[in-house]
Order: sequence, then C-alpha cells, then structure tokens
Amino acid sequence: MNKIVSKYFRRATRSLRWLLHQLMAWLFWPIWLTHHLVLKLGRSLRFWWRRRKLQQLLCGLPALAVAGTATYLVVAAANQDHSQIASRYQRAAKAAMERRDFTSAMLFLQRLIELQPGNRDTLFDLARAAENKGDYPRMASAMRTLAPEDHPVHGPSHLWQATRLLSQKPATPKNLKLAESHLFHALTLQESTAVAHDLLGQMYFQLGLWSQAVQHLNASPDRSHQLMLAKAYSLAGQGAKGRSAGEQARDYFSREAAAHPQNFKLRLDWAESCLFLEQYPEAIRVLQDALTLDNQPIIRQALARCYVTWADSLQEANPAQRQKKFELLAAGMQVYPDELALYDRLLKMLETGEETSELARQFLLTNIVEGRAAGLSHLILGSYDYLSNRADEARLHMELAFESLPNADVVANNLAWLMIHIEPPQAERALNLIDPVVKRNPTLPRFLDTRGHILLKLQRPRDAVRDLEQAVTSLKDNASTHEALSAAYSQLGLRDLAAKHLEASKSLSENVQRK
Amino acid sequence: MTSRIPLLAVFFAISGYGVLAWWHLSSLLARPHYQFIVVLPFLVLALLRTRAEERQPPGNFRWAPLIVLLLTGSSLLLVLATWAWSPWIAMLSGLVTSFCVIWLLTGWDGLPRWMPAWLMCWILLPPPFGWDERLTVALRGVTTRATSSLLELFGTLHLSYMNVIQVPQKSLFIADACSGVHSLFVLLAASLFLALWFRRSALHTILLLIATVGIVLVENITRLVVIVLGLSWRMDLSIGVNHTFLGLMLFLGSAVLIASTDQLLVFFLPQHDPRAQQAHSQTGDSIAKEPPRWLQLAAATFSLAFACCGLVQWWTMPGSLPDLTQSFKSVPDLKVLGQKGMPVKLQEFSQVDYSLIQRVLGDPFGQQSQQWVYARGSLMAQISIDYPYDGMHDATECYAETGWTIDQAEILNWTGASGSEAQAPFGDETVEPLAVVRMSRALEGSVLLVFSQLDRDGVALAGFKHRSAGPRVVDAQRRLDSLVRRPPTTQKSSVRPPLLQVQMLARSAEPFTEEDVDRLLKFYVDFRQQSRRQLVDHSVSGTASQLAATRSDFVTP
Repeated sequence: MNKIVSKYFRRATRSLRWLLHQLMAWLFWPIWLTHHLVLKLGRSLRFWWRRRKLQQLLCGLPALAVAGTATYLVVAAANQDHSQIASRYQRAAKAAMERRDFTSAMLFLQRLIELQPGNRDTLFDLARAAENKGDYPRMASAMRTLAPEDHPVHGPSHLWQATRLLSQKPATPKNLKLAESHLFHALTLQESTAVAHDLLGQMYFQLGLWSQAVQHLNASPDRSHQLMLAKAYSLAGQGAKGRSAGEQARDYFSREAAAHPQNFKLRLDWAESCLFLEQYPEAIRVLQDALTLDNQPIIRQALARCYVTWADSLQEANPAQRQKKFELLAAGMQVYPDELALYDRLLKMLETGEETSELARQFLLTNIVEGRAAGLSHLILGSYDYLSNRADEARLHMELAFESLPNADVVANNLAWLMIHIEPPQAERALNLIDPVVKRNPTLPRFLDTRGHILLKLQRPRDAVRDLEQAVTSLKDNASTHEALSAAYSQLGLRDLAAKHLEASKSLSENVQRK
Repeated sequence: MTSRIPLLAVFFAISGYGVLAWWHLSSLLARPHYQFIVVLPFLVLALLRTRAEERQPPGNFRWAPLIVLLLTGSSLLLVLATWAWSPWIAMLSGLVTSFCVIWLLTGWDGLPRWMPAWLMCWILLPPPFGWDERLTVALRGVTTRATSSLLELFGTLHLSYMNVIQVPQKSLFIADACSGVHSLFVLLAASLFLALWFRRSALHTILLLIATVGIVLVENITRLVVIVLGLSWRMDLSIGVNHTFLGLMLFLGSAVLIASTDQLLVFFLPQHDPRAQQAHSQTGDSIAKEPPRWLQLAAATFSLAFACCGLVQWWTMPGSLPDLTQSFKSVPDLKVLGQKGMPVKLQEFSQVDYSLIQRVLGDPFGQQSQQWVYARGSLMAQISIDYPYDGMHDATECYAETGWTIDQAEILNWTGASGSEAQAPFGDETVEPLAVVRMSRALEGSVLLVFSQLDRDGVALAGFKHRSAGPRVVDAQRRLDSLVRRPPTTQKSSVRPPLLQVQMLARSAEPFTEEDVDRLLKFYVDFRQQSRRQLVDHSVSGTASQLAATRSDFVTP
C-alpha cells in the first residue's frame, strides 16, 4: 500500500514540478528572450569589434557624407515656409510684368496658383500676362473661369472683359449686351464699382441712353467725366443740371490745369467745358494760353474748332453778325488752315452770295497772294468754282491746291471727283489720286463714294458696287450714290436692284428740290 | 549516362529556348535601359573564374524529386510560352531549367561555384506586368518632386508639373534617360555583381541593392538641379556633349558611391569567412556521386519535350528572326526643312513661326523637332515633325505625363487626298489613319491633338497604347492577358523604322466648333502630305490600307 501511495506521490510530484516548470517558462519567457538577445547582440558586437577595420569606414565616408547631406536637404526642403515661397513668386511675377517679360511672369504666376489654389487675383494676372504674350487660348480659358457671362465671379475680370468688348471695333449689339452684363456683375460683386459705373455711363452715353448715362456717371467718383455728365443732362432735357455739372467740370479742369500746367489735355477739356457753357471767349483764351505753353497742332486744331463753334452760334440775320462770323472763321483759318470744318463753313459762306461772300472770296485771294493757307484757299475757291459750273477755273484751283497740299485727303478727293466730271474725264488719274486716300481712310464713306464713282467710270461695276455699298450705309441721303449704284447694278445685270436705287435717287433729288 | 548530360543541357538550351530567347533578347536590346545586358557574358565568366578554385567533383544529389518538380514546372512554362508566344515566360522557364541542368552536372556540392553566375543571369528577366514601366513613372514623379523642392530651397524660381520642370529659360521634360531608369538598372546589376564577386552576405546584398536605388535617385536629382542651376548661369547642360559629359560624371560618381556604400556595409555588418563555412560544409557526409538513374531518364524525356517545343516555336514564329543589332545601328539624319520648307499659306492657315528643337536621345517627344506655328483667326495650330521613333508611338502618353487629361481619343481613317495641291501617295483610294485626341489641362483649357507616324516608305500609322482607367484589378488582368496573348506581329514586321511623327496641337480662344475641327484635320492631312513628299522616299507602291491602325498594335508585355 505504501509503495502504491509513494508511487502516486512521486508521479504527482513530478507532474507538479513539470507544471511549475512550464508555468515558469511561460511567465519568464520575455526575460529569457531578452537575455538571449542581449547575449547574441553582445557576441555579435564582440565579433564586430574584433573584425572591424577603420580603413573600411574611411572608404565608406563618401557614402556617409552623401547620405547625411541628402537627409539634411530632405528635412530642410520639407520644412520650407510656403507663404514665404509664395511671396517670392509674387514679387518675381510683379517684376516680370513690369519689365514686360510675360513668359517668365506666366511661369511664376502658374507656380503661385499651385501654391495658393483658388487665388483669383493671381489667375487674373495670369490671364493678363497670357494676353500680352499673345497666348489668347490660355487667356480665354482663365477668363471663362473668372468672368463667366451668366454669373458674377471676380470683379476685375468682369471689368476687364467689359473693357475688351467695348474696345472692339465695330461695336456689335451682342458685344455691348455682353459688356453691360459683365459690368453689372462687377457692380454686384461691389468690386471696382467706380470703374464699372464709369464704363456703363460712357457706354450709355455713346448709345444715346441719356438718363441711364446720367445715373451711372453721377455714381462715378471720377470728376473727369463731369463734362460728359453735363452733356448727358443737357441731352436728357435737364438743362439746369447740365449747366451746373458743366460749371463743376470747368472748375475741376481749371484747378487741375493750374496744378499741372504742362498737361495740355486738361486745358483742352477746360476749353471744351467753356464751350459747353457757351463761354466762347473764355474757351479761346484757355486754348491760346495753352498754345503759348506748348505749340501743338492738336491745340491749334481745337482752337480752330472753337472759332467754328462760336461762328456757328451766331445768327446770320444781320450783316454785323455775318461780319463777325467771317472774322471768326478767318481767325480759325489763321490758326489751323487744315481744319475741314473751316473749309465747309467758308464754302457755304461763298455760296450765300451775300456781302460776306465777296469778303470771303477776297480774303481767300489775299491768303493766296500772301502765301498763307494757299492750299486750303485754292481748295475752297476751286470747290466754289465747280459748284458755280466754272469747271476750268475749278480745275486750276484744285490742281494748285493739290500741289500745295499733296497729302491732304480732301484735296485729293475733290480733285479726283473733278477729274471724272470734266470733259474728257480722266478716270485713271482720278483713281491714282483716290486710291492712297482710301488706303489711309478705309472706312470713310465720302472717299469710298468717290472711288465707287471712279470705278464705275472705268467700267468696273463689281468693284464699284463694293465701295458704293459700303458708302451708302452712311450716305443714305446722297442721291448721287444711289444713282451710281443703280448704274453699277444695271451693268451687272441686276435690274431689280438697279431700279430700286434709281427710285431712291429720284426721290432724294425731288426732296432736295422741294426744300 | 552522366557524361551525356552536358550534351542534353546544350540540346535543351538550343532546341527548346533558342527561338524565344532570341526574341526575348531582341526586345530587351530594343529598350535602352536593358542594353547593358551585352556585358552579361563577361560578368558571368568573371564570376565563374573567381569560383574556379572551388571546383570539386559532383556530389550530393539528394532532393532529386524537387528537381523533377522544377523540371516539370519549367517544361509547362515553356509549353505555355510556345503556345502564347511569350519570350518572357520562356526566359523564366530557361532560368529554372538551367538551374536543374547545373544540378544534374554538379549536384548540390557544385552549386556554390555556379550559383553567383546563375543569379547574375536573372538580370535577363525584367519585372513582369510592366512593373519596370511603373517604376519608371514612379521614379520620374519622385525625381521631379524632389528636384522641385530642392530648387525652392536654393531659391530658384521654377514651375514643376507632372514630369516637367520649367524655368524661364527652358522647359525641361524629365525623359526616361533623365528619370534614372537607365542608370538604375545598370547600377543595380553592378551592385549585384559587386556583392556576388566579393561574396557578400544575403543581408549585405539586399541592403546594397536598396542603397543603390537611393544613390540613383540622388544622382538624377543632382543632374536636374545642376542643369537648372546651369541654365540660370547661361550654361545649357540639357543637350549635346555637355549633357552626355554631365551624365557620365554623375554615373561614375554613383558607381563610386556604391563601392563606398559597400565598404560601409562591410564595416558595420560582421563578415564571416566564407572559406571556413565551405570547409565546414565539406566535413558533412556527401552521399551519391551522380544523380539517380531514374532522374537521368526523366531528364532525357524532358529533353525530347523541349525539343518539340523548339520545333513548334520555329514553325509558328511570326515573320523572321529579329535583328539583334537593330538598336545599335545609327539612325539616318532627317533633312531640316527650315521655315521656308513649308508653305507660308496652307489651306486657310498662315505660317507665323518656326523653330528647331533638339532634345536628348530617347526623349518621347523625339530627339529632334521641326516645329511650325500656323494661325487662322483665333485658331492656332502648332505642328511639328518629330524624329526618330523605332516603332509606332502614342503621343497621348507624353501629354498625359505632362499633366494633360485625355478627354477623348479616336482613330480616324482619312480617305483620299486632302485637297489643295496635295497628292495622295497611293492614289485617291488610300485610307490613312490619324489619331485625333481632345485633351485639357488646368489653366490651359481644351486643345486638339492630331498625330500619326510615317515610316521610311511613307506609310502612315497611328494608334493608342492601351490605357486602363479602371480599377487596379482590371489593369492587372489586362497586363496578365498581355503576357500570354500572341501579339499581332504581322503588322509590326511591315513597318520600316525609323519613323517620323507629324503632330499637331491646336488651340483656340473659343471652344472648337465642328467646322474648326474639320478645317484643322484638312490642314493636318495637307501638311502631312507635304512633309511626306519632302522627307520620305517613295520606294513602295503598296497600299496603306493594310496598315489601318488598331488600338492594340503595340502593347508591351
């Protein structure tokens, strides 16, 4: 029995010992593992320490140096201040724009957009740089984002779009409508409202929408448009307000001209304000003062126009007024003989056949004798002789006028016209005279009309139609243009059109006769 | 029987793998970053020579069933490669078979002598599924971003997007050559050779290979930073001899750094004496002195199977064997037409600018571009002749890598002559392809890209590389398919390189209308005809219709 008990006891003890051993192993295995690893590491380190060679470390130094440098650069690059980088690009872009290096500017601006996504001002600058560089597709792409037609996004971009549309020639209704909507978007965004009001005011003024022009010009803080506002008031039937605005404009320009004596444009505006207020002597004084400071043709021309305006304001009922009128026109001719308005008024004066007619004639002849404005004087006298059916004298005067003023478009035009209306007509010479004139003024209907007539004389109806059709859009009431078109269409075999123009010509002639 | 085994091995190699291995080598040599494999035989010989003193009689042929298993696997791979015409799978099979052959020759005891050379041969197997291509793209991205950050650190103002670094003086496209993919593969092979030559441990070798990737990145970032800084000093190191010299210097620097890293690793990693280990292994009991008889019979049977595969390959080979030296032949120069080489007015467009652009060899936009700019109102067409290309080229890839999003891409088959004075090269019935792509990029808007290539016979080609926009699983499936799908090589064999690319990038301030597109396409076709007439000799009178492009013409495995 004892043996059995001791046998089981021994077994139980062994099992317990085994269990305790396992338990200890489970409890202490991290310590055992750490101990083992430390020993292993120690052995490895001892092994490494015995076998290490300084020569190998020296050979590895270049790799260590490169690794160290690369790590430093990576850390330094990762910790760069983005706002500082952005401001650096901003400065560089601005400098590039200023020196008109748009390629660099575009590059810096694109990088800036990367650094500050959503910055519309930068995108706007990019569009402007692209436009200056001639990269219109990119400009359009940016502008489609910044200034869409249907909703407001970025005020300056809408203004810029409007300005571009308004500066396009010819101004189409579609472009004007679009420009208007862009300007309204700019006003909605309350960005650059002053410029938007200015542009809207000017646009409405050009379109003849006086009350709308008044509304926006009034809202504009820019006093330089005060004169336009005055005119708009006046044309809208609010004379008193117009006069008040005109006075404000005059005062403004006089102050500014005093502050900037060399700025002759201010003096021109000042004079124009005086003219608006019908203060003619004051306007003439301002311009004469301007001439003493700077003898520019534009000031002389303005002064001549000033004389013409004053002359136009005078009634022709009594001889004293007519005398005054003649004196004013003569004074204008002294200042700027090439002014076409003077030619027009003097010719009319000659045509009246009154006492001033002879006075004017004598004045022109004296001019020729004294060598003063001889070209224009010959032109006026030649034109008068032509209208008085004295073709030979007219031709002589015109030839002399052309010799004096070979680059004067009106002289060449009138001489060319005369060339096809004398016997025998000299159409080839007339064409040689008018071609350079049309080249210089491709849209002026008067010159196109002359060339159309000449081409018709030369039996070139197709070319004549091209010029005459362009001319007739502005010269709707000119019977001779319709007559020429009728003849041209007739030669081309378009009888219906020829008949229509002939009918228009006849009706216009009858109206003139009736008047 | 043992004495006949080398003969069998030679028979395996030549009969079973000859044709596909030739094709594999041809495709490797066509890629510039694998052309260094021409030095592989010398490396293998050098490695064998270093182990010459370890020559010992064959012995220890244990684990024979494992070899049978490997032989079975490689023979199955060869069958698959033959059926699918996959040179890559054939090369994988060949490497496995070569291991078995070496084992049959020397047993496990002989492997230490052969193993380094055998491991070195694995450089013949590029990563599958276009992973090398992905690596190239990834390297380009990392290089560009890191270069950009460094330039910011140095205060150099620039713009970087996708794989382009632009400075006011020049726009630098990070081409394959500059992305580091060329030097990466060469330097990895060099590192492997160095480790094998000096009997470095596995850990040492792996660390050295990882360090090599880092060194290559440093090399290429340095190259770009130096080029950009050079430009600001009015020194153009991006082209010509300067570029080559800079590349060579940096490559040598990288090689020195690898050697230096190796020494550093030797310093830090305790190195056991391999000879002592060898002595230890020699004390072990070597049993059999030759492979078992049944295994020799099995090997003989496999040799017959390989021979059959070799015959089938020869029979089904598409076209003739490719010319291995093709990539090393110099490309003929293309005549420079100059500004007056193209008409001042073409269709309704007027010429406004001309430039001649030189780039580095292998640049995807062509090493040389003759570029004209034509305009018509708000339409602006930049049209260029890019040269040279070895095969069909998908220009959309280049644009995608420079940040453009491809919105729509299609191949148009343009029928007949284009109009004006242009004459169709193959008569009025000619159908010629052209790739028409609409793409867009932030801040640039939408553009129209039209391109096609002309081979030496004036035959027009156009195509797109398959691009998966779907999930990665789909992409992987496509790449797996490309691995085992027989390519339509009959068309490829008809193309006579080098090709020139006629490429037009049209932009407009307004969105393109249908009339605009039609006008531009006519202009493009007319321009292509003009350039064909001046630059290509018409020596072939066939029809181009047989070369109507497909979307899968040049999928790379």
